[in-house]
Amino acid sequence: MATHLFMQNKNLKQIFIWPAVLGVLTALGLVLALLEDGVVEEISLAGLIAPILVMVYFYWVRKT
Amino acid sequence: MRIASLKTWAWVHKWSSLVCTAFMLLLCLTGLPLIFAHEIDHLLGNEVEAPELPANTPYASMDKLLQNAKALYPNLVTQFAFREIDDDKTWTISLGKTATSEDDTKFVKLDARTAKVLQEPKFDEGFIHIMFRLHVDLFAGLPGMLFLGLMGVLLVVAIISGVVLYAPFMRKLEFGEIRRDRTPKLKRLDTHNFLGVVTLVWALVVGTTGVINAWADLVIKYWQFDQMSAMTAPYKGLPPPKTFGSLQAAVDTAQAREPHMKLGFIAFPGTDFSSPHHYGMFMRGDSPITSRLFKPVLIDAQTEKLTDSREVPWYLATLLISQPLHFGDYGGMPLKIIWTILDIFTIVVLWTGLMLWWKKRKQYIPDIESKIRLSEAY
Repeated sequence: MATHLFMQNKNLKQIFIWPAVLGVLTALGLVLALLEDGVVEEISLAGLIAPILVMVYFYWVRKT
Repeated sequence: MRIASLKTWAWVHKWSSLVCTAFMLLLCLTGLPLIFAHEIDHLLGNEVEAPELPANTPYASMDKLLQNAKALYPNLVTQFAFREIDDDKTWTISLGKTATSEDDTKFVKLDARTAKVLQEPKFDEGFIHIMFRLHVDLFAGLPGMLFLGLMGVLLVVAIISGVVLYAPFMRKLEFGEIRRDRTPKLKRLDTHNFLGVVTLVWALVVGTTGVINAWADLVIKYWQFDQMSAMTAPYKGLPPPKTFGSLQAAVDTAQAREPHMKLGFIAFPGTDFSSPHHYGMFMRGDSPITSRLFKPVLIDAQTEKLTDSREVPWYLATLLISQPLHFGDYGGMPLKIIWTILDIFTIVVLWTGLMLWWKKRKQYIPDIESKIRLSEAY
């Protein structure tokens, strides 16, 4: 993936799409777990784990 | 983005971060054990659990509990009775020199079924207490709370300006790309940007709710002035009663008024959460959110009759809902672990940010464009 030397400049949408997805997942997770116990809570916890998994993946698993 | 505005954002990010970083590191570090305050207290043996009794064991009369707590400190006045959200087996009663005194408070934890004294917990000493005070007010009371609240505002500013600066640095990088094979600086910068943007929403929520919590004392004061005084207005000017009716009867009246809610805590007459003439009964629902939104029910302490009950106003509701979002205590152990990991990520963001500035502070690069080309906008 170290192609950035030849990479076109990314636009704002390309830059922020993944942070935005993670942000929405986090926000949904935080709020849903507050509203409901049970299954909804477990789904929302999964949303909160997403940023952690993404971090672990990029930092330790996919070493470029 | 225009160069001038980018320069402003870089300045804002640098200074808002630098001013609050030391305090944020302190808050992140002291916050870690606080996530597990309950578990740590348990491990240290500071918490005595009620014994297992058959599920259908009836509860003892609240009057009996009150009597047993008072018997230990006959010269003190009862202030509050409270219990943990998930604990129906115990009540803890606090006693002080007067109903509103905050020094030298005694706590008596009793079994709700047998009314036996289980222990006298010390909430105002020990490791967790020190962490708590450092986290909440730096041992400086209200000024300390408001100061940390201000630092929290700076953190929010730093996060927002950080997001703005994220864009120019990522123009030629893939999401999640960490240039670890080049200089330590680039690795540090990429780690800072990546971890910062991944934890963005969580850090914003915990930061903002922390700022709201810093106002807790003032919000409650205003609520007393705004709502409590209105509810107890008919009793204004009357001499405080010398004898009180049955606590259990008062509890029953409150329970009958809100049959679907559970009693969360009781404020005895004369505290800031009651009046000299009333028991303040604070009822809670059973979902994570309604269990935080205490509904006050005021019961005449002599006649055990209902005086008034009102929904919490928006400002108190905001405070009460912001608490679980700050503490991360509403999703059991999984949520606590998530909170811990994200807290550690935040420490890394703070630390790498500080290091990025420290290593380069003497190097003067005049224009922002070269700074960004050299991956240095701080």
